[in-house]
Amino acid sequence: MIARIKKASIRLAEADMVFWLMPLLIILLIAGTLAQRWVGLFEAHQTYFASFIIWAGPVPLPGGYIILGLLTLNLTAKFLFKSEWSAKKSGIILAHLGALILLIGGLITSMLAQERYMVLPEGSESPYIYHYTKRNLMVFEDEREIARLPYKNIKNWNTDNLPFDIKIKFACDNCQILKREDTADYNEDDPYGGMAQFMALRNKKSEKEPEANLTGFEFTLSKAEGADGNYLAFDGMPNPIEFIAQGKSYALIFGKDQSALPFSVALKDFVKDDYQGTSMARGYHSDVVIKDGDVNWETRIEMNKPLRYKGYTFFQSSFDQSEAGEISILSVVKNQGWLFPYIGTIILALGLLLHIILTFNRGRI
Amino acid sequence: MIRLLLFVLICCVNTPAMAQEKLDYAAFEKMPILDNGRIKPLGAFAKARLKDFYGSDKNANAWLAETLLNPSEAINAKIFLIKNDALKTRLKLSKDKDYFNLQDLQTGLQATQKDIIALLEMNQDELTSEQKALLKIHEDVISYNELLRSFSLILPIIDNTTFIDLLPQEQRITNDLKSIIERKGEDISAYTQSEQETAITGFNLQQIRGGGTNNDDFKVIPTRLNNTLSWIAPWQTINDGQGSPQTNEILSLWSNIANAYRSNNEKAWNKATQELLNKTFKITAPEISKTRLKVELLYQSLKPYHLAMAFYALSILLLILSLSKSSKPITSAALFSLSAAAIFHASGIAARIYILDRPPVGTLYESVLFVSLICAIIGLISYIKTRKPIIPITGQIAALGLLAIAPTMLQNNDSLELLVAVLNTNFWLATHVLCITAGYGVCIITACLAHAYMILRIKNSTHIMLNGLFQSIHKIGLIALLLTAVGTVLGGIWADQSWGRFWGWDPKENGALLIVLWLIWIQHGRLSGNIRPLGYVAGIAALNIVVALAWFGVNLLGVGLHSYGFTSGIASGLATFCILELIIILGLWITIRIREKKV
Repeated sequence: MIARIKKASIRLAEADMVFWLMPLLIILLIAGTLAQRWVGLFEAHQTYFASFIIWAGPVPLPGGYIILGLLTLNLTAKFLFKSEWSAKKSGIILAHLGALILLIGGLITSMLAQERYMVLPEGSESPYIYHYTKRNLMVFEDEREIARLPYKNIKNWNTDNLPFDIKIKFACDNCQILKREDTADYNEDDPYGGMAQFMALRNKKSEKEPEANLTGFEFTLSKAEGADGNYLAFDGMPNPIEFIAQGKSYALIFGKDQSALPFSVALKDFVKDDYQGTSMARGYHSDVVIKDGDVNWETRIEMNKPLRYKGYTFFQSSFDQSEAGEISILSVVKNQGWLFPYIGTIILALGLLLHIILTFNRGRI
Repeated sequence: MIRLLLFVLICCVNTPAMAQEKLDYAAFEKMPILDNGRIKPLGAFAKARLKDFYGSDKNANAWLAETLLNPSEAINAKIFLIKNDALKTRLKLSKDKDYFNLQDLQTGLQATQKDIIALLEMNQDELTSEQKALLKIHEDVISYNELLRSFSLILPIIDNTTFIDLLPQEQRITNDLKSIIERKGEDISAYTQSEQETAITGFNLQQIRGGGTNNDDFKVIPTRLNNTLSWIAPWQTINDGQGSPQTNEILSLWSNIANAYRSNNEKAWNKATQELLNKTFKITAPEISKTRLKVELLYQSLKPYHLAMAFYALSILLLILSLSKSSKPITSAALFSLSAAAIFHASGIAARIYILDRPPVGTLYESVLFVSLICAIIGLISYIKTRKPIIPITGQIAALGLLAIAPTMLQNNDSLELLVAVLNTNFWLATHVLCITAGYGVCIITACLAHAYMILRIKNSTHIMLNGLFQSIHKIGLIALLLTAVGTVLGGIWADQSWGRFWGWDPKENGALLIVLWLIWIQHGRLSGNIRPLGYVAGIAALNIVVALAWFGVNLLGVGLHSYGFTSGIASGLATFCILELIIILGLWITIRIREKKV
């Protein structure tokens, strides 16, 4: 058995594994890149690179995970069983080690990294971060969160444990907002509650990047004292839907999945610095204060200069300027694998350099 | 002969009329101006604007002086170049001519005003070439009109009185005019002589004021407030209340310049321009460097890349000559020519680094300049070390070809562009960008060498020569792998620093990775014996296609975070190149296979 594994490993370690796998990766790369023109980066990424199998009609083709996984196995096997541990080959060995570290780093990142964002108006402070694409309906009972229903499963929401009923009428991944009275199925006598009195949602083609979608749904609420009727909810709805059921007060809020950092961030000032006499930005920065217990840490986050704190990295990713004031949007990333690329790059560069020096000195291949 | 004469005549007619070509513009062109976010010499501003309108920058200083200081004459100059026949028809212009003045365009532009509003709301990428040309001519005319009126506040209206002189009485004259119209109506013939004078002055003032509204393009007046230096256009001293004793002083110096120009007084012109230049530098020191402005003027007038191209061409000829007949004078001349080309080329790039105060590659145009230099330098080093002509010939051909296509990558007529915020980091521009572009350069020279190898193999060159070349290709190919691989992962680290993810499968990232994967594939194929030496060389030759796709092709997708590198109009050129290359490489490969099978 061991002999068999060893044999398989040695086979895996051969250079021709790269020769056979690489064209697949090249085709995948080209297809995944071209696809972005039509389906956007997010979907192309999910279909081609973050997948095991790609279905070309009925034919299953290997996806990014399988090809990159096999290449990682090949590199590991080569490193363990096929390396010629000599000074002459030291460059090659280092270069392969560097590539292996990069691949492993990629694996860890794809499994563990979390990317969120936070929205900070100037002068505000918040611990809350939001998922870019995941959306939930949050249910509060007497101002305490008691349930979080993911939009992904909207067709199978189970509200048995709740004292009221929600029946979904329809949902739209990307909605357009219409005037209620302009809709074909508008009936004056129907009981509409909250924003549904004036607004209606209709389906619209999804944006290329799902984070830009305005997701929402319409539903019928029942067993809510005096508040039964048709309602709607959508991303970033300005007011919660509030009602009483069985003597308790309830509030429903729909939006991007929210979680809290173990500390909070306050935005003192956001600055868009333009080239003189133009509206073209030279740089953006946010002056923030990290408030963590007794710690009040003043610092600046700017383009190409993120802030790392307690395993979280904050990047200046976007902003909004309006009459109401300036809003800074930071992306917040937690990635245990962030150091791998740095180490991998150094080792890879040293290895290739060493190999080149050795090859040039040898005078022949 | 007659045709030639006609051609010369047409060219003469088409040169914009310029009154004072003989004045000395040395001080005038050095004047600093804030344009597109950057301080540049007035001479460079003039060239960029004239090239925009007219397609050429000849006599740009004289043209700008005339436009600014003698607008009533300048307005007749036929400075708008329109080549698009459909647009000429739409604007009711004669199809036989390419150059037009404001008057020629007036009717057509008024008739198309509505279209412009609609066009501006459309997706700019989807416009036809005629629509783009229509938009451009409207923009050009607006910008030209603004230029013509930049100094209208200090130019004489009647009897050497200027708008500024009349400014204190503007309100009174306007009121007088109103009351005259109320009393006598709008028919000027019913007015007394003094009323007529008031009416004309009032009307002129209104016209000039109108032309000065929002006229803030020509930012040539420095002001220092609380030790902060800023730049304003002449009209902003009145419109935005930014006038001060300092700006008044500068405006009066401009007024002297205008008077000297209009009276064609050479001595007064020289004195006035020099005086203004000195005053400007006195106010703007230490922020504004005289040397930097001078270097930019020199860079613009010397055209270092044209000189470099001439020497590249010469060195290619000499090197080819040395292939059949190698003699000391030829090799020395070739070495001289190679070095001269590289020196001109490198000085051009060095000048850009100095002027822009940043590493040399930040735009697609700059990447072409740099990659071209890398090819030339590898050729030069190889020639100095070995005196063998093959590598330098291929290197110089690549360098020459790239320099020739470089101008097509320009987004506008000022190649010294500012960078968007994410690129505004000298550290990453100096590491990732230089590493990856140097990688492109090494890939291209390796690929060209592989072409040379295949051609020489068909020509039955000696085994020793082919073997030597094969080893060079292999070694340079390894350097290409080092630079592209390290450049790509450095790009990942930059992305990790600015966007929070090392790798995002963005088109530009994938393009860079494609080169690395291609190199890894053919290296491992060679090692495992799956790719034979000839296939390996053909694979290296195909690097040209892979690099072209990664470098320019991914920009055509128009998606992804690297949107700052986008350029339009290179798609057909790129496709032709790739297909031709594919045919050449396959042709060479098949020819070698057939020949060697026979043997």
